[in-house]
Amino acid sequence: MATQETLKKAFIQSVSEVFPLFQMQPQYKEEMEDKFLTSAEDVNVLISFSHTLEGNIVFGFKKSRALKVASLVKGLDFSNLDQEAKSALGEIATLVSNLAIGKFQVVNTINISPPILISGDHIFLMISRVKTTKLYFELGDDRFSISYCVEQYLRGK
Amino acid sequence: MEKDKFTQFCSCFENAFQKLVSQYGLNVVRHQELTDSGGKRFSAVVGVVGLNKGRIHVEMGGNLVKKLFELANGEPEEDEMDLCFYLAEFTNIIAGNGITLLNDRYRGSNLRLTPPAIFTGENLDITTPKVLSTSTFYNTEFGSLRIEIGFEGV
Repeated sequence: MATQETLKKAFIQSVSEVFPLFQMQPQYKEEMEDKFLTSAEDVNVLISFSHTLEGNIVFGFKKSRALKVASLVKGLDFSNLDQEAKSALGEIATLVSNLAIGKFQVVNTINISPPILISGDHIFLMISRVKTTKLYFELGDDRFSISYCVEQYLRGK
Repeated sequence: MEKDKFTQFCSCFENAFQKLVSQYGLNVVRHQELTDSGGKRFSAVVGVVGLNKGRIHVEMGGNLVKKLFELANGEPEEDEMDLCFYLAEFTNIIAGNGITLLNDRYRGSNLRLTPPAIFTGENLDITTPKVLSTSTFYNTEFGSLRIEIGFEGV
């Protein structure tokens, strides 16, 4: 069964494999353990999964970074977070999540949900009834985060 | 997904919602739009995986989630986290009942829910690209709420 370290490595490796496909070179910086309810970024992409393991993954971007990432994914210049930009963010988050889940070292199937985009002001999020792990990546002159929680795995430990 | 099946899906979740709020004795009236969409809002999102992929989104204002918490627990909340936990549970009950009805009606669908995620904030915009969704709005004396159901490939 996957350990906490395996889960972390899976996300870091997946980011380092997927982002360069779109001319981005993020660097992993640090890990934090979040409380249940924690402040979120301006733009958040939620991917949830269920079956052998269940949990939530949230990619958090500042709005300016979200637009740059979407522009590089689509090869277009986005100045607003329109449907196409949101779709681009959903695509890259899905790619990273699929790849990471494939590295969890779990034999059985894990199904993932469609990406959900959440934006707004003064956002707080709670993705789990247990504590959440948050990984920060440096990208250009700012950073983005991946928060995740794998509930069934933690219960089974 | 066929349009008819999607309509059935929405109907199952609506029935589950009506059943739950009727237990609280809350007067809930269907409405054309959110009547109090400003200020701080609470949103819960539960994903659906299996033969059909989608998500259920429940959104309401602070007053209403506080009232629902009080009706369910018999006392006011201690902090905002209580409200988030409650909204997660509220959404899980609706989604869980809806999924059970669907799995009974469409054998082999093997639909499962993902854990709920809760977001609070102002001017919340929650969208799922490439997923067709339908929203239903309800009014209560404590504020309004929205239930949005979306599935891929409708």
